[in-house]
Amino acid sequence: MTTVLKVEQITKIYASRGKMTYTALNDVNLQAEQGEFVGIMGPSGSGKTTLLNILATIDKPTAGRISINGHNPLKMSNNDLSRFRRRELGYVFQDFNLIDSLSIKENIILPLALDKVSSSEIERRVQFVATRLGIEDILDKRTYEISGGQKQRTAIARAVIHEPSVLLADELTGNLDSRAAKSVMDALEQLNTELGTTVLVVTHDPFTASYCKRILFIKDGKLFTEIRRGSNRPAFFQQILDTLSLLGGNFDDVPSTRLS
Amino acid sequence: MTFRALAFRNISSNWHRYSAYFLSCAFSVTIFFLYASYMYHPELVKIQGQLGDIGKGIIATCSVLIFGISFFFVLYSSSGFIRSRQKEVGLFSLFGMSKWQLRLMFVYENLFIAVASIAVGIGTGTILLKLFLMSMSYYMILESPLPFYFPIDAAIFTAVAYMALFGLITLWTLRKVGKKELVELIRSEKGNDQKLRFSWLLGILAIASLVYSYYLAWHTHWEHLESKMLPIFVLAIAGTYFLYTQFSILIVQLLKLNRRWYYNGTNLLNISRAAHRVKENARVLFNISILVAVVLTSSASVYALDRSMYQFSRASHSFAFSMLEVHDKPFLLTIDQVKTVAEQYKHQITAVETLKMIDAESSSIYGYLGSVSLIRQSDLNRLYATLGKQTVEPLDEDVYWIDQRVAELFQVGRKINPETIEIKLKGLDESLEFKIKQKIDSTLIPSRYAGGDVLALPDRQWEQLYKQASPKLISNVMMVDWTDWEQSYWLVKELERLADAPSSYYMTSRITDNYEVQQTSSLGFFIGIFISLLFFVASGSIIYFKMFNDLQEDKSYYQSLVRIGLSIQEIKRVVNVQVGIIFFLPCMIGSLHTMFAMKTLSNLMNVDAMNYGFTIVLIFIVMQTLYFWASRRAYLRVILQGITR
Repeated sequence: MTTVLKVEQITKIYASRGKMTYTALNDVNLQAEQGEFVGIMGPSGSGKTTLLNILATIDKPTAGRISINGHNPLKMSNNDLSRFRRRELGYVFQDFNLIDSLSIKENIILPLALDKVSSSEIERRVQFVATRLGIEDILDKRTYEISGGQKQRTAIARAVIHEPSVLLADELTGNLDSRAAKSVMDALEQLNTELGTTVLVVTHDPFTASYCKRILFIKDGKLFTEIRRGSNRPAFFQQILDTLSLLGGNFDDVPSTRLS
Repeated sequence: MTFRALAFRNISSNWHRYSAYFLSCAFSVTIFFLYASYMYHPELVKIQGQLGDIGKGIIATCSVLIFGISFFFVLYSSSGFIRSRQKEVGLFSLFGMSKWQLRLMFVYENLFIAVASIAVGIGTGTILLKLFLMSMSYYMILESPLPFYFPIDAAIFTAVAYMALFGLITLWTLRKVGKKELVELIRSEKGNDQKLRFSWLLGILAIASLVYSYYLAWHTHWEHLESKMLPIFVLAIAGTYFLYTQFSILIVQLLKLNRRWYYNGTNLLNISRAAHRVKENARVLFNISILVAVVLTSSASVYALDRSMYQFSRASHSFAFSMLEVHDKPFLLTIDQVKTVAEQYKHQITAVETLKMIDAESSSIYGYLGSVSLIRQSDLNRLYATLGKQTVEPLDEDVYWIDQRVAELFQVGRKINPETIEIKLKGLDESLEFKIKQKIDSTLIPSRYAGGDVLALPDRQWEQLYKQASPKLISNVMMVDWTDWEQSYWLVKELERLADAPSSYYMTSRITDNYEVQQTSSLGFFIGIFISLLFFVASGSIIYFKMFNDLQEDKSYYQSLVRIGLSIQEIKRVVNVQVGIIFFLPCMIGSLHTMFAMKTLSNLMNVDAMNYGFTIVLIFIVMQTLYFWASRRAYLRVILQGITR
């Protein structure tokens, strides 16, 4: 198996205006193989979002090395970085980040359009992912006409349509009720098994995390422990809860539902 | 924090949002105040009194226009401003602010903005007023510059009018506050995407009415000006409106059909963005286009009038100063006297020419018996050499016809173009016939001296006639040129005083001949400038409001795009197109309207107004481009700030 994602000794120190410094990440190592479904969990303030932002190349580490599909994003210029992000990464956000002026279909094809893929190829691929994610019927709708679960599946479709090396997801079920969350995670799992997309999910929801094959726990910017899933998801769910109680810290930061 | 402090804090911390509103209010006050103090100026009130009914009517219309527009403009700014704050109002009431507290907050805010913008506006206006009066006096060549005064009447009038306006706006705002459901206010920005259909009927109607109004404008002359004015305006405005509302839909739909193009890079973003809220965008573009058309038309008309006035005065007198001598009346002054006075006034004499003319009659040119002045071809060439013009070839038999009316204002060139001309001298029985070699369209001799047109005869024939003609028919013109003729008004006045013949027929100059025309036209000139300025500011502010009201939404839009992997360069490209459309599309449509309006003006006056219109359009495009760069920069800065990197 090939290693798609490799993070070595990443450290991130935030310096505020005074002489106060804050270590968000301290010497973190992480590796993901092709087709893996990895979760990252930790209490709030543990540095998981910082880690994800660094992987998504929207933030830079203070020290350490990153390799994504053989590329080193830390050495890229701004323009190369945008292209890299567009081709190698898929990103799913808690607040969907869909663009209101575009229809669902246009939202999905945006990365391909930006990369100037031919329109026939675009059509083919959009049908393919939309069917996989169960959103083929809503392609012509607008963003405000569909439910939260559908929005997030649209966002996933957009994140995978260009067949990225890694799909990064930040609290992707944070804004969804449990039914919608289940539909989204089922769809993601299906994509992962059928297409072999490598998925990296940051979450603090044990239910969402239970879909992962492997979960890394971080605490205070350091890797705390790692658990692997057997065949049984309910048992894995219990295992996650146990690890979390062992980990301690504040997990009540599930964001309030937004009004829009 | 007291309640008043909250209202004040609201303004100071949200300054960039308030500043646009505040500045456009202050601008509007400044213009209004300047106009008011200009109209109230005691000297100008006198001049206005001398105008005829038409002049007074024009001034009244312009006053109403300027007052109305500056009021409407403040109203428009405030409604845009309030719309952009709906969410804030929603949040305040969500946190338990009562309806009355909200209203009180608005009253405080509006009061603050009203007082501040009136004070700033009148202050700026006072400073500008001095400059303004100086340029006025210079342009109108008043004996003494318009005295500076602080126009208390105008200031009070402005302050009262604007306080009343702000009061009305506040009331209108209060009526709206608390009327909408909270939920609507909070999610105010979303889900208002209108689905519009292109209507062939309206589309064709738009094109038809535009084309027809252009056609009318192209063919309008004095006779049917009144009957055509209204249809042209109505058709052009309606046509523009439907052009935007219908064709923006059509174009978007057509472009979307072309998948290969649509799915290519940032096209997807640009087009979908244009389609989003297409109705609102079309309205904004329409408003700006009309404003731009008004700005361009009024400034181009002013420019064309001013330039053609200048050209006309240049053309009507080929020399700065002329005197006439007839058989029983010698020149009023000797050339030495003129020279001495000119030097006193620091003007250098550059040329002195005298010219003998024979007064003859002819009916070949006019169709009826009119007078023509006969000169020698050698004299013509001597004058042309002095003026630096191309000389003509001396002829043996034929004559040159100098048509002196072509260059005149409000005159259309004569239609009759005879091959030969028959002339007759008073006291002589036989008439002479000459072949016309060439017609020259320019004024050589001040038209009041050369009874009508001028014929340049071969020297030999001219001498013959000169011997036969009675001395009464012979006159002598002395023409003098000096430096800086534009400033020589006082010199000519002094010469008239010296000759003891004020406003004499026997003495004429380029500057005094056009003095009165220039004085009355200056009123129109300055009103035109006011209107242009006001509308320019208005269109600029509408663009500004449009851009910065959408800013919050745009920020998250671009943020999403960056996360998907849009590079900064691509963002800049998208911004260029999207901001560019707001700036340049109305500019193009407005310019087109202006060119047709200029064609009408050209028809009305004997002036090539389209050329001047073109110059103004070019200047406007340059200014608009500068404004575009500045706004794009400010806009991009805010957008890029919001992008984490």
